[in-house]
Amino acid sequence: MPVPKQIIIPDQLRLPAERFNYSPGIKVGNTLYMAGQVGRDAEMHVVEETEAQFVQALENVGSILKEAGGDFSDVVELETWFVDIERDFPIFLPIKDRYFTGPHYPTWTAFEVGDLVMGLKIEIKCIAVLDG
Amino acid sequence: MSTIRREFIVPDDLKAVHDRFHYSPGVLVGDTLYIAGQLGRDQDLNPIRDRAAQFSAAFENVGKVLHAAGADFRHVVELETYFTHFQEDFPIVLAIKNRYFPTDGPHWTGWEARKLVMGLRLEVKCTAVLTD
Repeated sequence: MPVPKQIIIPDQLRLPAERFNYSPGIKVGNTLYMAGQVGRDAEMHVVEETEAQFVQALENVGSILKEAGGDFSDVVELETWFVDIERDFPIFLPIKDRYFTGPHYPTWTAFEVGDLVMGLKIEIKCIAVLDG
Repeated sequence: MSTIRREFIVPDDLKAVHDRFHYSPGVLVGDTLYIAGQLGRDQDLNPIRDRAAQFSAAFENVGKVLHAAGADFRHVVELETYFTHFQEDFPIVLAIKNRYFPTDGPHWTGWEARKLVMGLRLEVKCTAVLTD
């Protein structure tokens, strides 16, 4: 039996999806695979201030979840790629808690990479499983 | 509307990371067990300095999540290893990996990350599928 597949493109991520030819999200069956998200706004402008940039990256994840009919409580796996993990990990932690409010949390994997596009400080990659 | 079985796996030995950083060491959704990247830290979250001991502890922590979910290393389908010193540490990690995956191992992807938390040298991330 074929598994239904759905391409998820929220309005606020339409520009990078069209410019670079990728899907912000792909829902296969109940599983929603999401592209790594960064702190750019809908016009692909980098949000410079660190906390605001992290919030924007999470808001972008949220826009994919919402478009697919889910929310942050559906996320099962979280990956965060930092360019300066020692400096930014403590900044990210309380922001993460605003989106992943518990009492149950996804898995989390974090590490530092050499560089990201456009001098960004974080990339956030999630997988979610949606009921229904 | 299908409600998918979702279980949050927090082995006793990894409870400290759950409580301090708010993530689940494992999330079991249906038959798929997502496991957070594991590091060579002891129960009190202190990094293990001896390299071989640190790397073994990371695999042991993966094992704790597997066992808490009723699985073992044979169920792992995907293995990712992030090194901070790829050339130097690969031979040591290979020998340790082979103790946990002696035959019919999972697919494996490894690369060098610029940095991991607390000066650790290896992160081990697995996904398992609980087949009969």
